[in-house]
Parts: sequence; structure tokens; C-alpha cells
Amino acid sequence: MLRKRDVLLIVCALALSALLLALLPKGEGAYAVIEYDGAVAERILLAGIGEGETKTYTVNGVTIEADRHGAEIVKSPCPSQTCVKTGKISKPGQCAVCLPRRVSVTISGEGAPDGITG
Amino acid sequence: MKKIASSALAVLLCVLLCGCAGIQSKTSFYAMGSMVTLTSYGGNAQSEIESAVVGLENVISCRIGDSAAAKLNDSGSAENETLAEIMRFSKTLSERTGGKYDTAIYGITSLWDFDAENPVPPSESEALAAAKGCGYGNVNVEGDRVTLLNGVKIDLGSLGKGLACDKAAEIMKEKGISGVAAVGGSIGVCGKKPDGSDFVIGIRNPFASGSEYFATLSLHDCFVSTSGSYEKTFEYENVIYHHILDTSTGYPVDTDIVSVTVVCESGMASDALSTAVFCVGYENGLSLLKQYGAEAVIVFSDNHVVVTKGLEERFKSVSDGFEVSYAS
Repeated sequence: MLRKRDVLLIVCALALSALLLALLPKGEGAYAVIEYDGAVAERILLAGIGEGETKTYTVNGVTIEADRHGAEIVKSPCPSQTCVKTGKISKPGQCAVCLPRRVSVTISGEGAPDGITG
Repeated sequence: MKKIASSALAVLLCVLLCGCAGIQSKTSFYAMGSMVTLTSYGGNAQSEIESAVVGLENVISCRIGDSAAAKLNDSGSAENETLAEIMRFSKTLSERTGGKYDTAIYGITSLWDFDAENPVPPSESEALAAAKGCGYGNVNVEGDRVTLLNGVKIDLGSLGKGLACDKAAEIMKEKGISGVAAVGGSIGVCGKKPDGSDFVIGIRNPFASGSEYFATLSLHDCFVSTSGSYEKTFEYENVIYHHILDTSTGYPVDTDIVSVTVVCESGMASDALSTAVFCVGYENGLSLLKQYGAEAVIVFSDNHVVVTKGLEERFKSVSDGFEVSYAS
């Protein structure tokens, strides 16, 4: 038999769980997340960059530029330059990767697919 | 006191359970010449998956000097369960495609270096001579023993990433984790999201730069791979060369298809089939897909997209400029 105190306990637990989930960060806008070898090196809130302003980051020899509309690998010492040729990325889920330098830039934010094939 | 402690523990457990099931964990590492990204709910198995994928790479990558595949290529014979299983699958697919799909093509692939600073294509005669010396007819598989005849060598690049997805998904299932394992452009989808909805996989726009996607597929418990002529290319004397090679000429496949995305129940099959359909063309490709119970999204150079019937409800175009039709 459930006692009054048990019911109260369950209600409290559920309320606390809901609160925890509600407090998880979301909906702040798109970020450009720069990773080196799988670890986050920079997490840039794009909306926090001023109009006309460009921020530059260098991670393991790879140069990344970010503005309030997106991010782009602009320079890399890798031979194929595939990462540079990727161009600017701006939509959630898009990613530019320099495989030889193990540096990636991903746009994260609401609406991103769970994966991209191709 | 005991009651208070057990009550507190119950609350804590409840909070943790509710929280963990819904919290997304996203990690990445590098293996198989790709970035591997794991998006998971209900836990994280990165270390186990990384170890399994790197272990697989050390078996199947012919570009790693002491891998089982490299040793097989050097000696012409090896006893290895994984290689035997792969080559058995690959030989059957080669037979079904009349040799247009093949993994016994290291003689051709080694002539092309798409990652070089200034790539140069081999001459047509050199590529043709190499193509004549390749082929699955020179591969024998008996039990776990693989034997290569007449100096033929294997390159498993056309199915390796898909197979890595199989390994990742196996571990996620064992641990009761739902999520998405992406090895480059090959993806394993395990279960559903905590809210019961499908995972959403974008299909890269073959005509756009970057990883822009033109459509999405809502999927659960399956594997997805894409092969496209836009993936690895270089330009030499005003000609663009792509990396999917014709086994009869040693040169890039000449086709009006620009990308093939395959969905099926095996990662290795999805990866190999995406290349195979690209090589055999549309009509033969549809028949091949049916033999494996696979579905596909095929994009043509004129922006026409054909989606097989089984994906009709799961496919959603998110970009203008594509004409979509459905094949039965």
C-alpha cells in the first residue's frame, strides 16, 4: 500500500526530474564548436559576435574564422586542402574537418540532424 | 534516519534515471581515415567503440603496414575470420554486379592519390593495364583462409566504414544505448530517441560545398551509407576526376549519377551497395538493391532524385531545386 508520504516522495522526485531537464541548456542560438582530436577547443556563440566582426582561432596549425553568420577553415598546412575547400558552414549540423590535423568545426544548435551521410 | 536515507536515495535515483535517459552525449575520435562521431542517449560507450573500430582498422586497412589485410596483400594468403567474412560477402556482390563492384582492386586504387598536394591521374594505358590485372576471380575463400592469386591485392575502402558502423552499433545495443554512430559518411542508427521519435539523418547535397544537406531520412535501427562523385576529387588539366573507379578501365566511373545513399540492415552492405549501385547504374542498381532488401536515394546530375518506395514515408526534401520521384 502506498502511504501519503510515498506518494509525496514520488511527486517530488518527478518534479525534480522535470526541473532538471528544463534547466538543461537549449535554444540559445547556434554555436561554432572547434574540436581538436575529439576534445572541445573553442565553443563560440555566433550571435555573440558583432555584425561585421570576424574572430580568428588557430588550433593545431589550422586557422578558423568565425563571424555571426558561420565559421570557416581558412588555412591549413594539410596537403589536400579539403578542409579549406569545404568553405563556410552556417547551418546546424554542418561540419568542416581537417583529417590530417584532427581539427573539426561543427555548427551546433536546434534543428541539426542527428547525423549527415555523404 | 534509515527511512530518510532511503527516501533521499530513491529521489536521487529517480532524478538520475530520468535525466540520463534524455541527456545526449556527443563524442568524437579519429579512425578509419575519418572522424567518428557518436551521439548517444542512455550512456556512453566511446572507449569500447573506439577500441573496436581501431582494432578493425588494424585488420582491414591495407594502408597500415602490419594490418592483416596488408599482410594478406604481401603474402597472398592469410587465415583471418574477419577478412574471410568480408571477402565472402564482397565476392558475392562482385558476382552479382558482373565485377563492376570489386574489392580486389588495389592495383587500380594505388595508382590514384586523391589526398596528394598536386594529384596527377595515371595514364589511361597504365590504368587499363592495372585494371586487367585485378579482379575477384583471383580471390579464393575457404573457411577462414583467404588466398589471392596472380599477384592480385585487395582494398576494402568501399566497405570498411560501414563495417565499423556495424561494430559500433553492436556495442551500443549490448549496452542498451540508443543513438547514432557516424564513421565519416557511413552511419549506424541504434534504436530511437528517448521521446520515441526516429533519428534524423541528413543527406549531403552533392552540388553544394561543405556538409550542406538537401534532404533528411527519419530512421531507426538501420545503417546508411552514401557514395558520391563529389566526395574526393581533383582537377587536372581542366578535367575533374572522382574517386569511384571503373574496374574495367581503372578510371573514374562515367555516369549521370552523382550520389547514392543506401539504407539497409547491415553497415557493411549499405557501404558496399552505395558504391555498387553507383558503378552499375540506375536500372541494374534497383535490381541489386532488391536482392539485399535495401532502399536508396539516388541523385542524378540533372538534380533529379529517385527515392525507393520503402523510404517514401521517411524521406523529406529540405532544399529547393531537386525534382523528387519514387521508384517501386
